[in-house]
Amino acid sequence: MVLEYPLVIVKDAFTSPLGVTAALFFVALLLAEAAVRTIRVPRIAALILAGALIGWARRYFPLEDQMPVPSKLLEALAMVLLFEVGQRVPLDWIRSNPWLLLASIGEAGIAFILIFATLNYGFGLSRMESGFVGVICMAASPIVVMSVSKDLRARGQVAERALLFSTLSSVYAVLAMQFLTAGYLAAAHAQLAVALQPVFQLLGSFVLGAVAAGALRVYAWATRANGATLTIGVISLCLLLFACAPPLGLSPTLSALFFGLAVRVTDRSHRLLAYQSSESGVVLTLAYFILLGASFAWPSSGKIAVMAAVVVAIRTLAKVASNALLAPSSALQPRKGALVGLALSPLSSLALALAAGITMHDGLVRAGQTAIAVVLAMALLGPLVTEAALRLAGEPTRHEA
Amino acid sequence: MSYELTFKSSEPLTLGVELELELVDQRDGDLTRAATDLLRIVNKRHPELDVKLEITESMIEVATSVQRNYGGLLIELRKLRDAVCEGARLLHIGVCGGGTHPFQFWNERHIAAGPRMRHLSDLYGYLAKQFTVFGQHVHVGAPDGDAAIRLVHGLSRYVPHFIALAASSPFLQGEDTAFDCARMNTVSSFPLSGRMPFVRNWTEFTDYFTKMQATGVVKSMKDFYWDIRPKPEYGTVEVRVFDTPLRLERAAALAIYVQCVARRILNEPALTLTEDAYLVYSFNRFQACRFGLRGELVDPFTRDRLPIAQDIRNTVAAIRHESGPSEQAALREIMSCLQTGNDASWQRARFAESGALGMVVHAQTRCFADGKAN
Repeated sequence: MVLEYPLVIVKDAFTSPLGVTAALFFVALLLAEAAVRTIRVPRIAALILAGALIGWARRYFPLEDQMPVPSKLLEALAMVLLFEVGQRVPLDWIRSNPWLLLASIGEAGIAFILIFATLNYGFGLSRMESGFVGVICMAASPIVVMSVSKDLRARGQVAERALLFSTLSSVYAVLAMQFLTAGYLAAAHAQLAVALQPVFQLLGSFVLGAVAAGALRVYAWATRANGATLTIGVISLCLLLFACAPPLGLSPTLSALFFGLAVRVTDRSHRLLAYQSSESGVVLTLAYFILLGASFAWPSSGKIAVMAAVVVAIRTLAKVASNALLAPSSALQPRKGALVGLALSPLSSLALALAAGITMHDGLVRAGQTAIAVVLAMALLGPLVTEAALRLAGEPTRHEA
Repeated sequence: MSYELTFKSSEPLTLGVELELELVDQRDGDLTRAATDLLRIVNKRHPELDVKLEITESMIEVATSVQRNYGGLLIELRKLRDAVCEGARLLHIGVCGGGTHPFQFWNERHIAAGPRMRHLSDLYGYLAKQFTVFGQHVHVGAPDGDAAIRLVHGLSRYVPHFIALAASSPFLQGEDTAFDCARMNTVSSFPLSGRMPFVRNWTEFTDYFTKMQATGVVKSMKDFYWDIRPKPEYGTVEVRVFDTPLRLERAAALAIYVQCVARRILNEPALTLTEDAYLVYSFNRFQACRFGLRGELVDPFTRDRLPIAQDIRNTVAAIRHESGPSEQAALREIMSCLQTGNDASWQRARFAESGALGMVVHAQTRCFADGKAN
């Protein structure tokens, strides 16, 4: 009796939802780092794989109730990382090399057209369904590209262009999704306001991001923030954007991106840019990728899996070929262009959120499931492919890389 | 394969300038890997210009054709600068001068492709990557080998001037080294660095070279990393102690300063120096590297000590009346360096303002692009 009481307390502690979540999180980190050290799996891929393992465990063992995947936390973490993407993405480059913009539109457009045609003509999906999958899959994950590049300390054209193109393609995907959704809804209830939603989203998110950047400047000035104080300020503002954007009818993703961009453009002294090297940024990245892995649902239908596999192949081919083809116009060798295309393989939380969004519409469930399966495949394989592309370009500078 | 050591005669006092430039990331100012991509663009758009790879992918070398005066030199350097900056903008990288990158880490560098670069990497190991330092080389034309030897010895007396005026490497691996020119310490790690042995004429030099070649230690003149060396295939003497200045105007002025001093040396009928000229060579060189224009110079013959800046003033005063109007502009640039300080002091001032070495690099790229020390 005397001995039983403490054991009950320990049991309760470890079987509470928080206890299970924390324990599995710890195990995932342990597994990921062990894989990095022993079999040299790239860190980002190892984190997603470990996350996928605990995602699998919670479904096949009676843990689902004890460990609800905190999807809101995943999205909130993505906001902070998107802020960092916005800070790092070299949009001003487009001014001196406008062909980059055309190349990015071209590579995203070609990927969309080929995926659309494959699903529509090859698998008999409706135009609307094929369009939604095409829009989600034409994007690439700037968070993964940035994280892999940072992990390898990659420097060079492939790393820089992959970050630029993945960011731009994500913006295109968010806006195109708005247009498609507006079109889809307008077919049922024709409303001008719905059709204008994407324009409002773009402008409104920009304003919201700029306001957040202004608030960060005031915060940094008032508190003389650096290091951890600055990081807390950034995280708080990202969470605030995450909370405020949806009720205003705006995109949290675009707001976070514009927040980072506005800071980059206005931070002449580079004082606020110190955030990106902070240790808390690394912690957030680790947590994000484990949660991303744990969020995946594996495809239950064979046909969906086959369609996803074909889309993955077509998407990769389209990105590699289009980037190789368009590279010379923007002053890059076709070989390096092809490597940029390979580096654009990853998909992550943004594509997952877009795919999850369309499954809520009755006529788009199959499209949503296909897109989720593609995102799953490219979230797992993407970091490996990006790392391979950066290594083939000889861009990692981390001395043990 | 034996290396022919025939000195090719060239028009005396003609000039050629080579600049090794830093290629930096526009985001944080760290060195980036871009030389091959940049070279492709520049060579395609401006095939007439001499731009080539250096030992690592983070640096590039530009070289002028044969020039005679300050104006011609400056025009060609600006043409090279504009071509390189135009290519760099397409790749979103920055280009700048400076003898060392303030905070790069040598172990992150990539050796550039090519058999010579690979050979140097195999031979020198980590020293090859540490050799990511950036210098200006000035070639001065000499009529024959004997004149070249006279020039090497004569110009050695002015090595502290050259180092102090061009010094732009106060920071290394993220630290203030307390040196104005830390680059020379990296060069000194190489076994065949320092000064040329005291030979009195081209015949003696050829004997020395043949002996060294027989030992298998050297294959060609390129294997000597001396501060000043003859370059027989070009018919020149190459002064290699300058850090790459932050502005082209300074780079061209330094070349003209070398030309003016060389004119005085060639006007002497024969070599009058003895080996004692090198008695305090290393000490004077150290003073210039460590303290820049504030360093002291010891005269090996009179034993007098003089501030380097004062010795430069005296030299400018002596050569000014022998110079044409074009050279006067270059000498004014030299005098303004004595008044406002060298590039190392400018870099330290920028660091004191911003507290970030990345900002110093950004200031250097602006300074290189527009030629203004703002």
